[in-house]
Order: sequence, then C-alpha cells, then structure tokens
Amino acid sequence: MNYDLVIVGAGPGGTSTAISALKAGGKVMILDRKTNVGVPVQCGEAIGKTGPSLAEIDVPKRAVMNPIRGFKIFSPNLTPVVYAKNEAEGFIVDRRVFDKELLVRACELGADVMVGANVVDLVYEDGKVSGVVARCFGEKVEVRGEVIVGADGVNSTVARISGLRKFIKPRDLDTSAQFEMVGVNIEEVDLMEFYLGSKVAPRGYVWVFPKSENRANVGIGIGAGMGEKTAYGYLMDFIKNNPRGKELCKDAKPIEFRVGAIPLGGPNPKNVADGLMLVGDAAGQVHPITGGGVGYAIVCGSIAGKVAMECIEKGDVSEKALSKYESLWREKYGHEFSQMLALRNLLEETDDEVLDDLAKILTGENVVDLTAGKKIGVVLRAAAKGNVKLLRLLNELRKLQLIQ
Amino acid sequence: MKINEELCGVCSGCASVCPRGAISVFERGLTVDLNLCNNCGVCASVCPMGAITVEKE
Ligand SMILES: Cc1cc2nc3c(=O)[nH]c(=O)nc-3n(C[C@H](O)[C@H](O)[C@H](O)COP(=O)(O)OP(=O)(O)OC[C@H]3O[C@@H](n4cnc5c(N)ncnc54)[C@H](O)[C@@H]3O)c2cc1C
Ligand code: SF4
Ligand code: SF4
Repeated sequence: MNYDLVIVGAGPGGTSTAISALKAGGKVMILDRKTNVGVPVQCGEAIGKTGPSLAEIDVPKRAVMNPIRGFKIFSPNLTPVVYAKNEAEGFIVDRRVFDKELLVRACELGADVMVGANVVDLVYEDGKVSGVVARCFGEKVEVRGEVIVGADGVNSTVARISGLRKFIKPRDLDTSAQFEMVGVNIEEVDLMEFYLGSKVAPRGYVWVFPKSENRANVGIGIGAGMGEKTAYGYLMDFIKNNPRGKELCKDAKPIEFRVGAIPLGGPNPKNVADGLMLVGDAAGQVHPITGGGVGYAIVCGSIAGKVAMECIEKGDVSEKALSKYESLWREKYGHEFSQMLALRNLLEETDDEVLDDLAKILTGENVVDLTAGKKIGVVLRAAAKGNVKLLRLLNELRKLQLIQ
Repeated sequence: MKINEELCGVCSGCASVCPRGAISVFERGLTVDLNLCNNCGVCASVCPMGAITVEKE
C-alpha cells in the first residue's frame, strides 16, 4: 500500500500532523519505535503557558491532571516574581495519557499505526524521499509514501539521514532529569514554581509542577555541559540543600525518575526537502528559554499535515511546494523563536546578582510579556536607577526590542 | 567511549550531539559503533547522569 503520509514518531508532532492530514482525506501511516507510546514520560507536562494557546491545542480531556493559573519564579537569592490569574491558563497533563489519546484520535480517523518500529533509513527515488526502512520485531519493513514526515524528536533519525540536521551542538541542547514525587509540600496547587541561578541550574531552571495537592514533577534542565555537575547532580542538590527545595521535598517520595534532552537552539535552517517535512523537536520548534515544545509541535504539525495534503492533491511534493509549510509556521513563531534565542544568550551571560536585582523590579506580567516577545514599558528603567549592571541589561533588552 | 548501562536513562541526548552519528538509540538502550567513534568526548559532556566515560589514548 502506498500512503499519502508516512509519519515517523507518534509524539504530539506526529499525531497532530496525522490528524490534520486525515481530516483532509489523506491515507496515513504512523510508525514509532516505542512499544508503549507516551512512555516513558520525558516532559514536565505543563501545557498552555508558553506559545500556542489552549484553544489552539485541543488538549484531550482525559489527560488533564491539574489546572494552572500562574507561576512563581525564584531568582538565585530566592526573590519571588509572582504571576497569578483568577482562571486557569494552562494545565499539567499526564503525557502518558495525552500522547495515547492523540494517537487514538488519529486511529479513529483512519490512520494505520506500527508500534515497535524503529526507523533506521530513508528510501530515495530520483532524489526524492519516498519511504522509510524500519526494524520492527526482528523484521525489516519498508513503507512508502508521497510525503515522509520526521516527527521523531530531539534525536531525529529522519533529520540526520536527510541532512537537514546532522547533529545538535551541545550548547543548543538542554539536558534534564526529573522526579515525579508524592508528598511534596506544595504551597499553591495551581501555581508552577521555577528556580533560577548559576548554582541552581546553569542556563536553565528547576521546575516544580503540581499534579495534585501533594504530587508534583520536580525536575531540572541545564545547558548541556555547563556547570560542574550533571543535571542529576544539580537536581539532587536542589532537593537536599536548597532552602526551599529541601522544605518542599522533605517528606516527598519519588515514584518515577526520568532523564531527557531538549533542543533549544532554535529551529533548523530548513525543515523541508523533496518529499520530506520535519515537525516538532526534530525541526527545533521549541521555545529557546522555557524549553516548552508540546504546543508548538501540535500547531506546526497541524499546518504540516494540511500543506502536505494540498501538495499531494496538486501532484507536486517538491521542496518548493512543501516550503509553504515552512513559511506558514515561521510566520507564526519564527520571530518569537529568534528573539527568545537572543534573550537566552543574553541571560546566559547575566550574573546571578543582576538576576536578583531584576527580580525585584519585574512583575509576573512583565515576565509573561518578555517570554512571549512582547515589549514591556519604561517603568523598569526608573526602578533600576543607579544600578549600572542592571541598566546595562535593560539596555540590551531594549536592543532586542523587548523593552521601550 | 563507554556507557554505564546502570546509569543510562535513554534520554538520547548523547546520540543527538554525536558529530559522527556513532550512537544508535533503541527503545531500551543504546549501541555505539566503535568504528565511527573517535573518542571526542562530546557525548559525555551532555549526559545528565554522567553515564559516559571517554578515555583518550
Ligand atoms: C525533561 C523535559 C521536560 C519538558 N517539559 C515540557 C513541558 O513542561 N511543556 C512542554 O510543552 N514541553 C516540554 N518539553 C518538550 C516536549 O516534551 C517536546 O517538545 C515534545 O515532546 C515534542 O514533541 P514531538 O512530537 O516533536 O517529539 P516527541 O514527543 O519526542 O516524540 C517523538 C517520537 O518519535 C519516536 N521516535 C524517535 N526516533 C524514532 C525512530 N528512529 N523510529 C521510530 N520512532 C522514533 C519516539 O519514540 C517518540 O515517541 C520537555 C522536554 C523534556 C525532555
Ligand atoms: S546522554 Fe547519558 S542518559 Fe542520555 S542516552 Fe546517553 S548515556 Fe544515556
Ligand atoms: S566520543 Fe564523540 S564520536 Fe564517540 S560517540 Fe561520543 S560524541 Fe560520538
């Protein structure tokens, strides 16, 4: 059977691509090397706060664990910046259920699925990608399609073989470790907590995302190779020695431990080739500061599926035709990603003391605007008067068009 | 390079930064093609568990 779309990866990027192509009448095959899609969970499981809105994501109801109405960010000396709305603006979800439910949706719309199918090679015909080779339960299988979609995550085989992303530079990667814990002394169940600082999480943060009154994901992401310890080492340090971390976790029991890797160096220069598209982490569609990628993968995947079907119907799946996908998603998020990459680089060079000073003058709303690439007002500079280092940082932010 | 399987949690970080594509990821673990690996150590620097050791000859 020849498919319209052959999608590698059944994460949110792959299934959303499938769903939109199926709605446009496509024949779709999804392959994933996991035998249990969605497991293990390599995610903080927070949805809806950065990037695409909840309305754009269509979160499967069964996956919702806990509504979130804001956050507390703690600077290196634990100065809090609080943002709290009256209503939920996001959710902590259960990704095991989330990813599965999206896959069920795709199947119900008619997708074929192969689990336990590890894609190891691409098939080329006249220079155009026209299929994939997978190892599946000891057998070698070949699946052909008009368009092949690489939605195979951070270590994308499709990206590597096609040459669209041969490897990731270590500085463009965050490595992470996370416990899911029961018995966490959560202060406010509907606020997420973030901890910053070169000694807490070099170029990253520790997160505490409540899943219920006493259950939370406690995790960390750090710039790969930055700092003296491993991500695991920094996380244990937070849990055992940080004044707040210690208090939060003193009665907590870990029920799950996971490691993960996040590509946050911005999107690949190009995510299409003849007969080929990349989506989600494989394309680098991840917020360079928060590391959030689920929402982007879903929205960009939906665009990819739709454009692919349009191109197949017109009989032209060349790179040029498929690049409509690239322009459409970049129109939505391209500017945000490049601005946030610049902000990330700036914050990476900012001393802990300056972050502490910044935390004193920033409001939660300011942080939301900053990380969404929206300009914030002049109030800051008056508040920073006389603080040379902080004024210098604010000046850099102005150059990035993030403050007036 | 050597991977300590007791520590590895299969995050695939090492494989995604390897300039030589020497590390393959499976559902439950990794394999390294030692013919491709040149012991550059990049993979070890990104491991969240410190599971990789590289000995320079
Ligand atoms: C620790 C951590 C915490 C995070 N926290 C958040 C968060 O709180 N909120 C948020 O929005 N984002 C978060 N992210 C990012 C988010 O998890 C990803 O951006 C998102 O999962 C990307 O979706 P995807 O579909 O592109 O890739 P994935 O979800 O990674 O799915 C890729 C799929 O492809 C499969 N695959 C890979 N290679 C092959 C192959 N060769 N053959 C067949 N199948 C293959 C995999 O098995 C996998 O199922 C976090 C990431 C990490 C690591
Ligand atoms: S980076 Fe470390 S934990 Fe991750 S897959 Fe490689 S060896 Fe395993
Ligand atoms: S040492 Fe270098 S070449 Fe060898 S596996 Fe690690 S990153 Fe790849």
